[in-house]
Amino acid sequence: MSPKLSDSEKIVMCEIFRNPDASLVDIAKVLENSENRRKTGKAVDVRTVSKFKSVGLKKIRKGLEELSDTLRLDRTIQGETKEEEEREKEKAELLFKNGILIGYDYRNSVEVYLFYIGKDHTILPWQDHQCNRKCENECKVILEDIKKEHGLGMPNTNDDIRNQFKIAIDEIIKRSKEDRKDG
Amino acid sequence: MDEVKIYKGSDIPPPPSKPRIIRPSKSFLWKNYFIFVLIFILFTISLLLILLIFDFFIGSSADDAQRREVLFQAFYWLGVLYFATWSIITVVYVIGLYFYIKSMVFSVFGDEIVVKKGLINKSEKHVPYRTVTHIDMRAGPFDRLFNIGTIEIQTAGGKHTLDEQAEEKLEGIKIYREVRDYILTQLRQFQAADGTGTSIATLTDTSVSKISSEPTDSISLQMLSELKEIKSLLKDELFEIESKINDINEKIDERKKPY
Repeated sequence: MSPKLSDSEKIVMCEIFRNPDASLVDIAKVLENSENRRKTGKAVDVRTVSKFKSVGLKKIRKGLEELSDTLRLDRTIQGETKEEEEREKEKAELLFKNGILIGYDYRNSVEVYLFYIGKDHTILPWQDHQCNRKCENECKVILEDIKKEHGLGMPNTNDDIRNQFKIAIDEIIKRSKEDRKDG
Repeated sequence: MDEVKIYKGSDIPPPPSKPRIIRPSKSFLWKNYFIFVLIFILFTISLLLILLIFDFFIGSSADDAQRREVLFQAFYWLGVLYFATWSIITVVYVIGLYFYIKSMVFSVFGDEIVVKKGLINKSEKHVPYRTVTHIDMRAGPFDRLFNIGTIEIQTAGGKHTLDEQAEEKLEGIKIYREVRDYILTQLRQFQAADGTGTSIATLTDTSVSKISSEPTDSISLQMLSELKEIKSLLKDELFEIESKINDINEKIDERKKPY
């Protein structure tokens, strides 16, 4: 299952995920020079980039929600107190803006992460688990894809893959929070 | 000593480390609004029908125009009053229901299910697993229309009989089948740990000792010698009992002999 994004939207979204600090002018320049676009070389203004960004985000969000419904995941915001709930809500919103959704699978009592990968233009589901020999390589590939997608400069350590996933998620949230403060 | 490696794995997943909060879906709100609108339409149609019948029997017999005018005025003001009342009820219902559903929180953790709800009178019910007798799942026609369902929890000490109402209800849940399975799993885990109900064996240890025919440690040897002693004592006792039985049997046989 993949969200239906146009070529320009894909480029804009990939650029935003990879480099959240990039301004709309920078993204417009990238879009102008992109070869994957139908109208290559045509000037792009900031308003168009902004439109591509909002439409792209909406489509990715819809795709993530549809997949989570298909997988019968629970998206209820957790938190016993109002403050906790607000914090979790903010976290979920920041993750949505990065093309990530965390759902809960009641059948297996585990969290399931849904990642939008711009390179393949698809959504990858990853179930929280301790990797064994069978899945280790596959999970590593997914982790590398996520790191590339979000331009995370995390070093390749011998740390548990499960932990690395969690660190990557925390890193993305932290970065988005900083961007929000700066912006 | 050789160890037989057992990998952790079971149909039953490990218990959650933190409470799982379940809230009713937005579709539950829409379902209630839909039923409200349906009731309003049906009520209005039935009222109009009654008025038409009334008009047919009384209004048509009124010959003079003045009486008809009075009747028309009465119907008009009744209509205005009716719609004004419904408007007030609608506003109160729409706002009240929204906040009521927002206040509904179901929490599953540890050895109980907690249900919080209420707008004016806030209630918090704790349903311990040990009192739960069975769990029902219900999805009526309107529920199915909005893709939601209700989980009913029956308890041993409930006020109601099974035919009536459930002790506690988790209403308007979208993934109700999964939530029901989750609660059942938690319940079975609790029963297995508590030693009540139908327990399901779970493998928790990572390794178990291989059963060996020859014990090597001192405690095992001591235990073995004691068991052997008990066995020999029992053997002697058994021999004595058997000999006594034989004696009795012989005496019985002698008595049975004809003189």
